[in-house]
Amino acid sequence: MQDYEIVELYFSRSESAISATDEKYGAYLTKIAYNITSDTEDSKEAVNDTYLAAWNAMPPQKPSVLRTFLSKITRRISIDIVRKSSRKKREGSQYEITLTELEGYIGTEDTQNEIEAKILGEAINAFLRSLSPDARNAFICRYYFLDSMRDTAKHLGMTEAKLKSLLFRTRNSLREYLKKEGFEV
Amino acid sequence: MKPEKLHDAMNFIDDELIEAADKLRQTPKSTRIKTTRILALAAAVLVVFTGVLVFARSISFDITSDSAANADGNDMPTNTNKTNDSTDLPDGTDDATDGNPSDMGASIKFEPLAFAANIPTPPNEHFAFYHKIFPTSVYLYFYTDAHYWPDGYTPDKSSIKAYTYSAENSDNGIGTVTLPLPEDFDLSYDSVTPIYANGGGGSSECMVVFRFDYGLESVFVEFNNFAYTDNILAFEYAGELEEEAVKTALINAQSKANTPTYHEGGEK
Repeated sequence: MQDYEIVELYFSRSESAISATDEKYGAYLTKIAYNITSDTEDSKEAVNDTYLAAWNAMPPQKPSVLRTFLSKITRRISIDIVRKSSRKKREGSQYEITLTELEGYIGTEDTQNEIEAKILGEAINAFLRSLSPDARNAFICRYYFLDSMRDTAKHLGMTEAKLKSLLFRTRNSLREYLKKEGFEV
Repeated sequence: MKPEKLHDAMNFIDDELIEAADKLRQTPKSTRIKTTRILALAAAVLVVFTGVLVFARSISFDITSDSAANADGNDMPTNTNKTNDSTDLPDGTDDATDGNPSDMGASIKFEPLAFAANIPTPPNEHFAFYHKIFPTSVYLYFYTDAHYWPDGYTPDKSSIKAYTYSAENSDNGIGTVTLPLPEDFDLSYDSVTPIYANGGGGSSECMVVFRFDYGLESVFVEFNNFAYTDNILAFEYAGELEEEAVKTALINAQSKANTPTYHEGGEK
């Protein structure tokens, strides 16, 4: 099924939109989720949450590339799962208790964080566009899809050593770029 | 800035960039690695092949040099004792005394024999070793001035002389050793035992004594600068001698000397 057909299913509020999405992108999204969570159950949860988020997002959103649209959702949800899980491990510690207590007074900074992330994202976009295709793709494979070094090297057709060196240089360049753009690094 | 923020920001990367990388993930450039590996492998094989060729050529060069020396009319020295069965000697080998002893060190040809013994060039013109393990005899040339008997051993010199060596020229000390072997001689380590070895710095100090126990009688032969080459019984200039090496050399020699026949050697 073509992407636009799946999107139409979402817009027509047909429940088959979920099964169509799962059939076409289930494995792909699970891989992204597993790269982040390293846990099968968490990955399944992330993918299911992705479908729900996609259901809620469409309409009004109408993604031109469904695959990328879904991958972003899965990525965000998977990272949230990892953060929650990490937080859960600290539950009971005085540090965590005080954080919870303070959160009640000053509120969460989700909106602010998202704005900051968006601004930072724009800067990263500009930075990535200035890179060579190899460096850019290596950076995205590694830090967006969170592929392992081995997989990333394989995707790019280079040795792991070369990839590590390339990423090292790219990270350094990014730091310098962000500094120059006025970000606190 | 925390790395988490970067991760969050990565969610705002343009779709177009993500798509490009994603396409790569679907169709990896694995061929590039394969090609590189194949090229590296081919280069390695080429280097090894070249090395083998060079090595083979150098070996070939050595043999050719030896053969060339032979062609110059430098006869192979062997014992001339009339009792020797000269028909047992390989073609092209002459009795030792046919050669000019004074030229011995310079003129002896160290060519591979039937057993492919590889004899190096003697270290100086006064020093010459040669050996053969034909089915019948062992011939040695050595610098007789340097020999001596181990402490505590008093050889029956007359007997030994009859069976072992003679100085062919007292001036330069080149001598011939002939070890007569019986027909049923089995050249194994059990029958050839090093009983004295003394490594030393000078050519006259490195000595090895073997007892050839081949059934007739024990013969003690004193060598000077005895060694082995390529696990084949051979004699060359050497400062040290390892028993294990001699063992290996002799065992290898045994496997080459299939059915030795008795060939009485004698002094000149």
